[in-house]
Amino acid sequence: MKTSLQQPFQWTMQLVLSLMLLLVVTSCEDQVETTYVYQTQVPVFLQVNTFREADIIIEPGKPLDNPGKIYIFGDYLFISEPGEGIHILDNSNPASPRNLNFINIPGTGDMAINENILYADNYVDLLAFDISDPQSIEMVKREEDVFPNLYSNEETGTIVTYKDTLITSTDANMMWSSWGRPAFRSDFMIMESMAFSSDAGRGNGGQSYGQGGSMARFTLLGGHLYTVDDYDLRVFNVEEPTDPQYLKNINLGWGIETIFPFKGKLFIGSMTGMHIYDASNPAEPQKMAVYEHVTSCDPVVVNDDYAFVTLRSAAVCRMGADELHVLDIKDLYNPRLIKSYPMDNPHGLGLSGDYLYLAEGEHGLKSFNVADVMEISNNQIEHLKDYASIDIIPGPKSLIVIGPDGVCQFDYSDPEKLKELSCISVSFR
Amino acid sequence: MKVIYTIFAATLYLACPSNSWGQALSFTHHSEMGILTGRDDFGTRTNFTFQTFNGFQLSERHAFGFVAGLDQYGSLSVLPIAMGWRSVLNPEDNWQLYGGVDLGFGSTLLEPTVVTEWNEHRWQEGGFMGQASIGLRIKTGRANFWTLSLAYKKQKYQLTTGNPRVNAPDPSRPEDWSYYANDKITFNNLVYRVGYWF
Repeated sequence: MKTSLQQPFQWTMQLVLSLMLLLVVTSCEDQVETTYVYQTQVPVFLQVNTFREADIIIEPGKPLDNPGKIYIFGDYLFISEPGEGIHILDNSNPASPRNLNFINIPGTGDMAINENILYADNYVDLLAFDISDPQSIEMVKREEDVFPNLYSNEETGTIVTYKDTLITSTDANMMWSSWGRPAFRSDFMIMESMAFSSDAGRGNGGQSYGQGGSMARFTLLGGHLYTVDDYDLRVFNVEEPTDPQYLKNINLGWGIETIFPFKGKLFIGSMTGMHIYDASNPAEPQKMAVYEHVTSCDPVVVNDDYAFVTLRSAAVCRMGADELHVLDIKDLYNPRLIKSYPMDNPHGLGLSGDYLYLAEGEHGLKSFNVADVMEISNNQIEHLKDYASIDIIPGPKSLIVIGPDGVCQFDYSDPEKLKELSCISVSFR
Repeated sequence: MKVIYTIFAATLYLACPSNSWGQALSFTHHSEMGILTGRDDFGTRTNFTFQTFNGFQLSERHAFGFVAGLDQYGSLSVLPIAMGWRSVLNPEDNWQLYGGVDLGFGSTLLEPTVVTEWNEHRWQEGGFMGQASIGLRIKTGRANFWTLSLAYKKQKYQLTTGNPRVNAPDPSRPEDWSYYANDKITFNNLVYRVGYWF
């Protein structure tokens, strides 16, 4: 009995013990495998002569990828594709727009149309195109070096742009923001807090809020073209439309976002507030007032008495609020906030008579009756949740809504009831 | 994982008295507490562990059932849930040698997603848990025992931190985050336990 028990016992014991010893000896240390993924912008250097010498090519129409801004020109829609070029669509029937041409303009940010001339930026240059026949577009002028802030070295003609890039790394030195892993032990509070403070210190140094290069935003008023980029308001004389002349540059501070012309005034939305400039002498815009508010992203629309400003929170807009502000601008030198309304995530706005259309980003599209500015939230008419929207243009034939998924047009002849006419969707997603 | 589900389902099936063989199987319980020891970048670590095994005595030597418990790695709480098997070499003696294997999952159910004031999101996920143990079982009554055991335990775990760049970031899409760091950690433990079996 004893031997029959002892033999398998010893055998099993030896096996189990040696197995455990093997496991213990080989890997008793905790294994840590860390991957860091960064959304960052990688600088891309470019010689100016490479794009100046290359022809601007008019290509056959191609599908929308990342629509930016829309201009309505007669029966045509011009849709910018930031960094890539401009789509031209035949919109004579808003229920079925037709993709005509694509102007390939590398490094473009925005555009404006003056009579039959289209202006667009091409990295550091301003281009003018004759679009009197949208079927056959011609470049008529290149005004050079008017957006010099893209230069990294103006003497050698090198410009720098930034490309969104996803970087994956397993190098522990790449870590910048985390508080560090919790210590998986209880005897360890001191070292944990040390790791915490050193990581936090490194974090502040490496932080950067890139905003996709410096892309200008354009508007036209009184025979002059105004462009705003991150810091500056630039003025061009376009009284002779085919020959834009760069006049001057006005520094506006930082985080300039949008520009809206109204009755001889320029309303400039920035991350910190709204600037009002008097452009009654178009070559010499004069500062009238600055309305400061919390830091966030904010487009502006205006009617005779009121300015509507949206404040939006987003990663690039620092700590923002999601609100619609109504400002009394009867005295343009002294704009006054009269009421603010909470919103979901407002982006662009469009004003048509007493109706305000508001793009709520992923939350859809809202319409309000703003005849009584003190009661806007009680006069919400519609909330179309299915249309993710970024910007809205009340056009002569249709209300045009731009969103991440494409461009939709609505019949708004009855402003109380929007009716979808057509949607052009982007090529993927 | 499929294998684990199959065993899980089989155990449930057998637990039903009408499906089990002729005579009903007797229940058995084994609760243990002890210490997990391991080494990390900072040196050795010692953590608390508790687990309980509830199962059926398939025969005089073999028992099969579920293991549930709590492993406290510093401030991190992991709840292991596993299938377990216990086998006794010499059930007729007062001092018995036994072994066991547990396979399952460690859950971080008790660890919520945290968003710091700098909008840094941190979330944690559990993972595979497996352990093999041998021990001594000392008879104190007809079917009551004290146990002393030594085990080797592996526990997988993930910690992810990120700063979102879109409004509703998807935790599994690094593109939605301006910064995204993922730590895959495997705890390798040598475990010392005392317990009671009845």
